[in-house]
Formats: sequence, C-alpha cells, structure tokens
Amino acid sequence: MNEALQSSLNLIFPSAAFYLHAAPILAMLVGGLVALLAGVFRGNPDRPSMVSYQIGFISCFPSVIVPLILLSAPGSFGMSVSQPPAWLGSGFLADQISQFTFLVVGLGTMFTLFMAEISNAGRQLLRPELVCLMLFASAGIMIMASAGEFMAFFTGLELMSIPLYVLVGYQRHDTRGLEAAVKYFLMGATASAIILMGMALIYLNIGTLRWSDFALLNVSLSNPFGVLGLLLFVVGLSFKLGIAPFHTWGPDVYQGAHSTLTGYMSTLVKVGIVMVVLRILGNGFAGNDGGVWLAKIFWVLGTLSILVGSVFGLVHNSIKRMLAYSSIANAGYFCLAFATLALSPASAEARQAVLAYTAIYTILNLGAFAILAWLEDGSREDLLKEELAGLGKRAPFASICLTIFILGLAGIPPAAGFFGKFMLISSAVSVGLIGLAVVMVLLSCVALFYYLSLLVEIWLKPATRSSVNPQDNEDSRDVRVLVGIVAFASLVVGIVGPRWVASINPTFARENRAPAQPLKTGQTNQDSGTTGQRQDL
Amino acid sequence: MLTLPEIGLYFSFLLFLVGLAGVMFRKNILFMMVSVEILLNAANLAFVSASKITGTIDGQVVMFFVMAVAACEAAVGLALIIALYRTKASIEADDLKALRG
Repeated sequence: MNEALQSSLNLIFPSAAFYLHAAPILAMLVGGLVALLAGVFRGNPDRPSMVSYQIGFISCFPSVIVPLILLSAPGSFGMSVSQPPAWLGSGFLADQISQFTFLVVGLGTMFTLFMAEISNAGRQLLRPELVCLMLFASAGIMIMASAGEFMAFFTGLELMSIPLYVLVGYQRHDTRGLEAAVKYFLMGATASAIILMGMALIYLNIGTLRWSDFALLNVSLSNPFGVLGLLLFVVGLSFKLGIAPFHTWGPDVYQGAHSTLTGYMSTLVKVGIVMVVLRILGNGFAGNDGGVWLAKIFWVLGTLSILVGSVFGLVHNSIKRMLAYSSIANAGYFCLAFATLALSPASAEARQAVLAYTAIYTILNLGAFAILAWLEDGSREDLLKEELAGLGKRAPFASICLTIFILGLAGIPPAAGFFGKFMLISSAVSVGLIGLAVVMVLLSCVALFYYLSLLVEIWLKPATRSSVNPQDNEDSRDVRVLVGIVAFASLVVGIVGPRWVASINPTFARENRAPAQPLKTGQTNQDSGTTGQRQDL
Repeated sequence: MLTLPEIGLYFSFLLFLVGLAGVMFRKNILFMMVSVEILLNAANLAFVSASKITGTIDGQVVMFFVMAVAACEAAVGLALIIALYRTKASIEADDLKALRG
C-alpha cells in the first residue's frame, strides 16, 4: 500500500487510542441523535421524554469517566505524558487540558439535565429536543476546547452557538425568551463573522490555520493587516465571552432565557472559549511583541469588564441581571488571566490558574442559577431582590447553599471563588501585572456591595407579602439534595481543587510535523512549500 | 498594480464594512440578518483571496465550511424571526424592549 493512501486511511480510521480520547465527544454526538430519535416513540405517556432524558444522561458518562481515568493515571494506555497525542492534523489535541474541559463540561451537562428532570420548572422544558440540543452544544464546546487549529475550532463554535440560539428561545410562546434569542442570535452571528474575518487576515499573513503557527504573525504597525486581524479576532472572542464593552447582549439574554438554561449558558460556553484563548496565547509570539500588545488589550478589556460588572450590578433589582453583571465582572478576571498568559505564555502556573478558575466559576454559577430556577418555580416572572426577604427563615437550607455560592462569586475566603481568584492574581503579580491586579481587587470590593445586599435580604430582612415562599414537596427535596451536593462540592473544590489542578500537566499536544516558516505576504506559489500543503492553484 | 486576489481582498473589506453598518444601523431584524450573511460572505471572500495570495489551500476549505454553517445559521435565524413575528406581529428591533434593566 502506498504511503499517501495509508496516511489518508489513518485520517479516516484513526487508531483505537483516538476513539478512547474522543469518546466524550463521540458519545455526546451519537447520544444527541439517539435522544432525538427516541422522542418519536411514545413510552410512558405521563413522562414522554423520560427515555430521551435517560439517553442524554448516559451519554454524559464517557465525558466524566474517560477524563478521570486519563487525568488520575497519566501515561495510561501507553500514552506519553511529555508529548500528548494529536489526531486529525491539529484538529483534535488529546492533552490534559482537553480532558479537564471534557470533565467540567460533562459534569455541567449532567447537572443541568438532572436539574431539568427533578425540578417542577425544568420538567416543562424537558423534551427530546432539549436533550438533543444540549448534548450537541456540549459536544461543540468540547470540540472547540480540544481544537488545535481554526477549522475544528470554528466547527465547534458553531455547533455550540446554533443550538444555544434555539435553547434561549426554547419556549416559543414566551415573548421575552424569543426576544432574548433574537438578540443573542444577531450578536452571536455577528461575533462569529468578526472572528472569521480576523482569522482570514491572520491567515493572509501566516498562511496556515494552526494555533501553534500564530507565533509567526508579525504584530507590529508595519503590518496593518496582521494587527487588524488579531484585533478582530480578540473582539469576536470578547463578544462570545461577554467581556465589556462587548457585553451588552449578556444581561438581556441571561434574563430572557429559562433559569435552568441560563446556568448552562453562562458557564460552559465560557469554559470552551477560555480554553481556546489559553491555547492561542500559550503558544506565544516568538520574537515580536505580539504578547505585549495583547496584554495591553486585555488590560483595557479587563478593567472595563470589572468596572461595568461591579458598578452596573448595583443598580439592578432583578437577581438574574445581577448575576449577569457578576459574570461580566468574572470575565474581567479571565482577562487578567489572558494578560498574564500573553506576557508569560509558557507559565504552567498561569495555565493551571485558568483551569482552576474556570472550574470553580462553573460550579458556583451553575449552583446559583439552579437555586434561582427552583425559587422561580416555573413562573416566568423575574425574581427581584426584595422577594428574597426572609428566605433565611422560610428555606434555611437553600439559603445556606445560595450564601455559599454568592460568597464564592464575591471571592470571600472560605468559599471556593477566593482560591481561584487568589491563584489568578498571584500568577498575574509574578509576571508584573501589579496595576491590573490592584484594579481587580479594588473593584471587586465595589461588587461586594451588591453581593452582600443579597445576603442582607436573605438573612436580615423580615419576610413580606411579596417574598418567595418555596413549596416543600417531593420535588424540592430532590432539588435540595442536588444543590446541597453542589454547594458542598464547591467548598471541597475550593480547598483541594487548586492542589489537584497543580498535578495537571498543562502542555499542549502537538502535531508531528516540521515547524512552519514565516511567510512573506504576496509571495507566489512557486515558493518551496513550508507546510507541505502548498500546491499550485 | 493590484492583482485579482488583492482586488478580492479589498472588496471583501468593503463588503465587511457594509455588513457591519447594516447590523448596527438597520432597524428591521430581517435586514440585520441579511447583513450578517453579508458579513459571513465577506469573510469567505477574504479567505479565498488570502488562499490565492499565500498559495495555500486551507482558506478555500474554510470557505466551504463557512457556507454550510451560514446555511444552518440562516435556518435557525429565520425560524426565530417567524416565531417572534407570530407572538409580537412585528420584527422591528425597536419593539424588542421587554428586557430592560
């Protein structure tokens, strides 16, 4: 058999190790299709979507089990630890960063599905389509996080975004949900187009689509297309992450979507995109000051985000909008991490801080929105701050859990959020980003004001006629158990998580090939090939 | 003297600006969606031109992926707009004000 045929066969039918490492993604994709198909057959007439739900839940298992095996026993299955494998060119990098993301996304999807099944509010939502859309979106996030080049990333990004547009407008007779969906769709599609245009300009400069070749990009004013491309790319990703000043869709969409889904949207989406930025920045810009430029950009974006998130959160009465602004403020912390990474790309400490922070943030936000969904109890009315008055007496357990999550989001020491922020800030200070770190800490104190005002309502104010009065029934017991587990997990993760993350090897998998050479723009195709893919057009 | 791919590249910038202006200043959601399609096609043209200029084939492959994605996006977007029209009987951006802080 000749060599070319062999290599293309390897692309179509990769080794068994590929199927092991990609099992989380494949299970989600297949599970999504099967769950949709299962909706055709009517099983239990009282619970028509039960089968789909079970299929969806089971499809999340591989994304929990496989990463746990591969992360706890590095080097198992004959895989090299120092040189993690890559498949499909650079399209699928099977390093520990991917596995970590799979674990977070798998657990988050399971939690959201479970929450939809056991809560009164969620059960109105749970139809085969919901399971299918959620599994596809999760698969998209995983594809994106494990991509080592633009095309796999873009496919994952759209596989994530398009189901999410539908999920936001899932209750199609609800005007607010639809309005949020249309806004999200227009903003998201524009952001995708901006990312594409940015990448087109970068590609014009470097001639490849791999993240690892971004180092070839000449970032200086003498190369306007390269700078513009990089800027557009950053702007597009900031849109998707909800970083100020590109955050305007955030509060509207979070408010309009069903609370059970808002938790999913506000956390897992960010996990995927943060990993992409981590991979791009982690490769660094060899021999030019691209990293310094990007650090400056993220400096500005981070300051704006935490300013907007902390100050505007004060003026809102709707708890969902408050949490939306809290997530904008948290996006500011991600910017701090990005600036750190831009300055010291190879720093293992900074990479591990990003991983720890995304995981902690995901747990806290999922938990907070789960309690919110339960308190709303399926009504589409926004929960206002005053309505929490006296909750501490009426539902002490839920109040304690909510307090743990709020303290975590605010970054108060015993709760998990503190350790994540501590790791981020200490890695930022160690590369000399002291100014930004100080800004972050000071503005977090401003944000503390609205976090604490929630706690004052819950614990210190007497109940009024408008206060929520959560029902005590079979459903609420399940929800309480689940939320209690998450609250406990957030505390445990806050303590042991950073140490566990420190055991993760944050190196990127690399495709086996000769490094690409810089490309002179405008050169013709007669030039000897640099990437081996060049050919006459 | 500009070569053909360079003309394509500059034309894609123009299309991109047109699309961006459409998304920002149009008030009708249907036209905003059309503007988004223009944006995606501008990116496509830029990718193809860049592919010709750099002499690599990756950009042309991206174009096919983007065309497929744009079709999916249009399907979902139109569905959302129809659902919105059914509940509100309007697809003007100014009527989207149920969600305000």
